[in-house]
Amino acid sequence: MKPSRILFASALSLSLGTALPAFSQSNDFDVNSQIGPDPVLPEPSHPLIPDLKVAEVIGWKDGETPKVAEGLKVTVYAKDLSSPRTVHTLPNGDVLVVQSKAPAGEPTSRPKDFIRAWIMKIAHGDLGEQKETNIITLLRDTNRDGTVDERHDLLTKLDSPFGLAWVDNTLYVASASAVIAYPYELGQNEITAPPKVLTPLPGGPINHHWTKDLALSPDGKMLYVSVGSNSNIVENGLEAEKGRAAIWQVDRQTGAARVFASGLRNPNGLAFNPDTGVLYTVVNERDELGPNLVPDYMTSVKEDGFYGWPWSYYGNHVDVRVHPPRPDMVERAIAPDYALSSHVAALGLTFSANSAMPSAFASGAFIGEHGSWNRDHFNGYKVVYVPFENGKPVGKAQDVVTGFIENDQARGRPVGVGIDGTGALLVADDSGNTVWRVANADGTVIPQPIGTDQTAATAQQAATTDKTDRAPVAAVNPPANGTTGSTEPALAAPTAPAEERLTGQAPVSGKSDTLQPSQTDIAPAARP
Amino acid sequence: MTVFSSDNRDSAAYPLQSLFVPFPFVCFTLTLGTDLAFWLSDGHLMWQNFSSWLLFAGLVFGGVAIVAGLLDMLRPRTRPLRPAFLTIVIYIVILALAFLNSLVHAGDGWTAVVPYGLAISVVTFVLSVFAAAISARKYSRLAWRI
Repeated sequence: MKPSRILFASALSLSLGTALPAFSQSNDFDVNSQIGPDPVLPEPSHPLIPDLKVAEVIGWKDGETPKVAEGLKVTVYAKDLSSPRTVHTLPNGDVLVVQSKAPAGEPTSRPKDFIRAWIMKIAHGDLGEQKETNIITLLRDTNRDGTVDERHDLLTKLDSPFGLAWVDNTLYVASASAVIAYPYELGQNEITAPPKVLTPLPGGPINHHWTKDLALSPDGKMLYVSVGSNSNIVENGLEAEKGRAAIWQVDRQTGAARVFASGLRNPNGLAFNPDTGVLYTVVNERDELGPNLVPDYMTSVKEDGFYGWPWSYYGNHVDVRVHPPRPDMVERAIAPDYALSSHVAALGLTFSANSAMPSAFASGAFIGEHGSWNRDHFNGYKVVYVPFENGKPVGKAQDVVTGFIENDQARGRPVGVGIDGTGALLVADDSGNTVWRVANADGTVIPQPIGTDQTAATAQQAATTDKTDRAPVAAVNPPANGTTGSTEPALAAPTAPAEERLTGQAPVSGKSDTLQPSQTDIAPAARP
Repeated sequence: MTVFSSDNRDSAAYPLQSLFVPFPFVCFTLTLGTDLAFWLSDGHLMWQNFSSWLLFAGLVFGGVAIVAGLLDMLRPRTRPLRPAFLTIVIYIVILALAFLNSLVHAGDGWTAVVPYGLAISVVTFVLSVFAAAISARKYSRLAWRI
């Protein structure tokens, strides 16, 4: 990325900004007033030139690290990755890193789209040479000292993967167009068995918000998939939004899917609060209503809940850009739980419960904020911690990991967050091509690894894995079912042996074995 | 023989600008049509895209026309065919309005056209008619071909 281009871009926005002062907003807005359960929402403005400030991506030099809050220590967990987006810890402590880039082929229908595509490339640091990506890499810390000892590429040439879940010897990958199931036993260093498409998801050719995140329900039966909208604010038409801006619920056995909650513009970071069992997500809200609208947010997700997009935001704040208006939908819209400030681009969410983090971070959520490009002051570019009390987010978000941006240059941009097998926080940094490990400075580790999918079933399998000492992988499988009876019956894993369940996971239609199902395969799951 | 002589240094040459000047007039007039279609169709996106590209094409060729017009000013054989000063001013105002209009049209959703985009398209069209009327009274109509 040449500095001259950035200069040109900022000169453009500056000159136009001064030429049209009536349309620009004042810069003295307190962003902190938009952090918390009850954000200040200014009047929407419709700037002729949307504010634009793109950070040049320069990457990390050797020895450079982000800054962390007091009581924490940051180290490189893995570097030289290729755009790592999410991290997922398996019950045996192995960490899977999903590396991906946006799928190609979003059509450009207006002169604006060319300009937008170019800006996004700068913001992602994609102008240089491209490393191969769309890979899932396994990182293994054998002696649990916080450094990675083994590294294996599990899956390559995927279709822009993002979310993962693992249960019953099956690894579920949410790609840009489907939930795909791979037979995978803990400890394996490669995946050779053929995958199956569990459920096709709304995919290309537009696939504007393509990142599909995954979470496993605490009972292990359902998968929750986030499907982002196909536009900023339906500029590709409502037809393109079927089944989108929603969280899907997918039956793990049959692949049957339905819209669980909707009106969530670009939801990511699906996670169940381990204390309450409630599903949470972080959502990127709409652009081009001014630099301080609309705040991105974290919210609990209610079954059949509708959260406003596209017709309104934060409950009943109508967006006049959407025509024809739907007052009935605006009335239904639920205001989200906790605002994170505008354009921070929250993409990652993980709960701190059961981790080894200091007591200041004992009960709350870590949120990865990718950072803004469409406002005049940078916002985000950090990992924050939101404290929870009685199962609800309270108080102000605290900075946990910062230093991703300095002097208008981005060294990295945080995306997904997770807790590793020792109880430390992991941060996937896509522009910095690094996974950072943020640990308790006093070296505390949890006694045994806890998987990201904190279900009764996975906890049990982890225990079994420990007994077999992880070495003979094949031996893990049968005993896992033998121990089922020892837990509460309500939470017990299904009774069929693992192999049988796996074969039961063929797509409902039974016809598609391509890993990139066509749009026509998608079940009519749109709601409302 | 001299009647048909084309190498007579006093005769007028073909003005370059006449190739490009008509583009903005045509494009921006059609933009009014596609904006109306967007409005009447209750927001069919195809019409918004048409408007965006028409504005874009009109601006690009309108810009080329200004360069061509400057070249014509410099050439002695095309200089007498230059348009009236007022029409030049109106022409530049039309391009400026169209640029503003393309920014409005670059917005997302219904409000990218209704009401301000449509309003600017109407004003642009009225100015175009006005410019054509003025130039029709001058012999520069030969150059503008409108």
